[in-house]
Amino acid sequence: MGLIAIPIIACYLLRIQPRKYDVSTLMFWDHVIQDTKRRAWWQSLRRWLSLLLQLAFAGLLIAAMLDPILGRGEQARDVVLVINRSASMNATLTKPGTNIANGQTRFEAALERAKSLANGLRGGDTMAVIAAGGTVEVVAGRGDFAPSIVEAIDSVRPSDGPGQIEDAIELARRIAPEEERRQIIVLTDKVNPLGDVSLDPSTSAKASESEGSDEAAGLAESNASELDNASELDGVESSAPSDLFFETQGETRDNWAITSIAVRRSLADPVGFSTRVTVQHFTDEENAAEDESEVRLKIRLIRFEDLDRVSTLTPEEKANGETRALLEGQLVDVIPIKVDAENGNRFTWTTEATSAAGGVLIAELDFGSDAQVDDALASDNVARAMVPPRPDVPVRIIAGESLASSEAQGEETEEETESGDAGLFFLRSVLESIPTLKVLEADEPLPPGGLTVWFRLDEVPDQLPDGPLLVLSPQANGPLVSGTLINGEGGIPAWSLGESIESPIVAKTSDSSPLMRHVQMTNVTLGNSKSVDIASGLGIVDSLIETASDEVVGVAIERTGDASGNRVLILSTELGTSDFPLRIAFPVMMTNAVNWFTGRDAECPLPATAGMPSKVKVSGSPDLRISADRVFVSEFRGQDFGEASVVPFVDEFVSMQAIRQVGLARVTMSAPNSNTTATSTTGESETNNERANADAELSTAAQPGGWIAVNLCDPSESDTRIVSSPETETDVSFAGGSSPWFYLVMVALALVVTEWGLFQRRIVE
Amino acid sequence: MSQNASSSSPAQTTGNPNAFDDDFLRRLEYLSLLSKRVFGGQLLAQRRTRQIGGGVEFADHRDYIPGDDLRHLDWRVYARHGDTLIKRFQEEKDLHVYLFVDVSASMRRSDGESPVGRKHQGKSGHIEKAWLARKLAAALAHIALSDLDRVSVLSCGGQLNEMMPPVRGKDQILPIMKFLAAAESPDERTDFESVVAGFLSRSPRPGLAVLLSDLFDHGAATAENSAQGDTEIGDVPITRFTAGVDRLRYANFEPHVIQIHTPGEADPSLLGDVELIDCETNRQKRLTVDARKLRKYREVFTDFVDSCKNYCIRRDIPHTIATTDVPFDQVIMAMMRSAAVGS
Repeated sequence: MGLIAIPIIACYLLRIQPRKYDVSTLMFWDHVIQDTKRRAWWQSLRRWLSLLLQLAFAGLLIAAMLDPILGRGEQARDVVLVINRSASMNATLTKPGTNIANGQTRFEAALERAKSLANGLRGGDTMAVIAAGGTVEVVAGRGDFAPSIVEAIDSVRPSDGPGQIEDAIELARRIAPEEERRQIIVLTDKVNPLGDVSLDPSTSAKASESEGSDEAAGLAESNASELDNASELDGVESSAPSDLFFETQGETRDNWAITSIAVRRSLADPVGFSTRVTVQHFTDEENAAEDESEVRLKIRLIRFEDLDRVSTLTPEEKANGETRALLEGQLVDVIPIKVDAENGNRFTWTTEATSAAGGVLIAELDFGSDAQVDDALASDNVARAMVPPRPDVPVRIIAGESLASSEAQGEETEEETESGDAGLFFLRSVLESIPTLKVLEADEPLPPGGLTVWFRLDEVPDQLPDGPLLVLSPQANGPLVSGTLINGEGGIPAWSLGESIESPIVAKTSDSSPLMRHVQMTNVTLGNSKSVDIASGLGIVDSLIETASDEVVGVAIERTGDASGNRVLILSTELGTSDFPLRIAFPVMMTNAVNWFTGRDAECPLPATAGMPSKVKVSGSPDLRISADRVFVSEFRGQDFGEASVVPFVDEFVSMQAIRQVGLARVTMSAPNSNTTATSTTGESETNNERANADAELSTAAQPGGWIAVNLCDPSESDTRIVSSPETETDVSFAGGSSPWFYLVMVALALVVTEWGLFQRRIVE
Repeated sequence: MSQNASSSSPAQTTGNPNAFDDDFLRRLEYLSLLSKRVFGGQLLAQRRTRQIGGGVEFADHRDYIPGDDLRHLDWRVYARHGDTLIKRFQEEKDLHVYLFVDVSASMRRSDGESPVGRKHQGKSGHIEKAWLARKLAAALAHIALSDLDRVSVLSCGGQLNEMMPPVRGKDQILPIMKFLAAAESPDERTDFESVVAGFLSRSPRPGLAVLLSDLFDHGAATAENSAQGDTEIGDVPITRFTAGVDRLRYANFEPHVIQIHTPGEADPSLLGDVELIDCETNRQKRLTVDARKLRKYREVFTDFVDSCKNYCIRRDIPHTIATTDVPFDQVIMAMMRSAAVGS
């Protein structure tokens, strides 16, 4: 300090020697001085004040270079920033005292705070950054280079999913194993979203003992998801750990949200769906339910064919707003919302009326022109659900000759004819009761894809029909199946009937088959059944009903080969002589059969949750089948699709990585017959080259597939209220902000400016 | 009556600015030719027309102008060469032109000489005020000699230093230029009243008295105060040169004031803590120059120039302002144009 002062004083002494100028006369300057008011007494001290300011400036610079440690002694810190990027962090901040958004979200405020903390790193400090969304991700491993940390913080993007804060804290403790150096700063909008028990660092002591920071930094979200959750922490004493600090971003705000949307099978209509939407108003106002705010629930429906058309729009059509027009859909209903205060300010709307064409049902909150409605979060104002299509299925019943013309029965007895008539009557009645089935008259041609019913056929056609086939009470073996030649000639029948069983007892039914869902065969007398033997190679055979003597009387076949996709159901029991048609099991089984034939699932596809990995069923056009080597999923954002990624799939279910934002995701498939090589479709292990190949495939060989709705629908995320809890929110001001070095230099610069103004008087007004 | 040449274009002299070089002589000859056509009667020509033919001693030829008395036509020249020249004769009553050239210390200043020991950048091309005064005096002398006037040059400062006796004829311009070039003032101060007093003590014939000075007249009293270190001038007027001019007027002289200053004196570029040294009195003043003081200085200087001009206007004294960034010939041209308009 003293050495620094010496040159300053020397320079000061040199500088106070004014420059000398020869002038022609001092007459004018004498007048100037005469007219200038005399200096105040302190002005005569300004030279000394200038020297003092310079010395203070030098002292501050020295202090800055020494990097003073404020607050926590001289020990370096391992700071781990946990940035909550859950949906609630997208709540907007408001201008003070108003409900008017100021254009910044809690997440953006958290990022700014994080960057400020990163810039405040001192020498020896390290910092890691963890983004806690639906998955926990280490965006920056431990490092001490502030610019790279700031760059990593800038790369964090918000999501519409939940925030796994607890997993993030556990991961943070693994990244920074030294407890005495560790500081975990959680930038979130919930003061303590975990509860006190999870704050104790001892719970992660075992995990942090053996793992180095570098290894821990490499842990990705998969590891985070494996961490123990709060259930393991039961019984741990509540204590405020010294390494964990919460910084709350934002302030309490009211929010309207669609907290659930569900489409399920209708209780009234066996093939229909009912829709249920729940809206909740999160507010602390006691009389909020009595407010006459004009919040309405708008229901729109976008047909699948319109969605498929979105995928094929040309750039010119997109520029003309075709995308917006198609996605606008059709307005179905507008429901005024009146929340129930006793039920947590909830409002529930249900409907049994759904479109047979299916589509994407969009529930959207409409606040109208009421500017007083305080709504903090936009992503929960819209929710989407997939309504499966229910196309009409034409059915043609081909009955045996004995039923078509009683005079031509010949060999059959009168008793058999009566039982056949009764069976046909029962069958027709049941089929006609199924809403989507359309039973055709005998002379009407069956459209492609229609259901063919063979009832009591004495003589079967030469070949199986192209399409689903229901065979009831067969009287003869099935048609010969080509491709299963024996000794090079002829073939074997598709099914072969065995001996008649007079009073078979149902001993076993298939539990896994969708055909037997909710079908109770207990005490059902089948009567006059015959065992059925299916030709090998016809397809995948599922035995539905077996008797006590292991005779199969009901079988479902999913054909393979050229007739792939065609399904056959055979029930070899006499409907007229059994009480099966009189039981509820028969219409339920026929309904299941119709759904099975048409590819419908009894379970409606559930929407995916934003930010969370999920396995969801793809919805789309009625003839949607996923049969491809690869399946791609890309988010639909605004007017176009995002980057496509290959996802694994099983049947019509795809396992998706977390989609960050709510909305729609498009599922496309590579053409089944394309020459692409089937490779691993695991997205996590996919290399960049594979991704590039996948994109190339998508652009050349992709064909439209289906759609997946991605919703938030998480009441905990939609609740944007913040409960003040000072005992859990620790002041971390010492750790944040800019470095003291920065502030000292700023003060020093201010002193320089002040000194310059005082001494040199260079400031010209 | 007041002319201001300070707004003209900057100097375009090609030779040494502080010398009578060839370029100066060419410009001088050009001015001499111009003056015959332009001068209408305000400065010299008025007396010249009145005195033509007033004497008997042949002095010079000049071109015939329609209206001249044909009796004075030089028939011999006409017969030999065909030129129509009028013979001119020495006047019976000569016009005396006295050129007071201030060569005090303040006149030896230019904008290129501050601060002490260093050269100003960008303004080194400006000549000293004294040299502009010398060139203006030489130009006026040449014009007057061309019109057969008697010209006397006086170098002055705190007192009348040296006086060149009245001369006549164009061939006297070179002695005048030598006198001007050698004119120096041993006295650093400016005291025009003392100069006039010394001048009048020699009983000169009345005539035209042209004062070329910056008019930074300290006067004897102020100089004494300054020597004692009194920096406050109080109510002492800064336009002390008027005492000398008034004395000239009382002695039936017709004064003409050419006020010379540098652009830097009107608008100094000083800033910060400076120590100013008066080059005439060696008085020193430390002050911190800021924008407010600069603005005040400009106001005081403008007031000073305006007071000089107003003094001359009220007394019907021609007044010309010349700055060192303007060539001398442009100053003379401005004077001639002003005289033509005035006639």
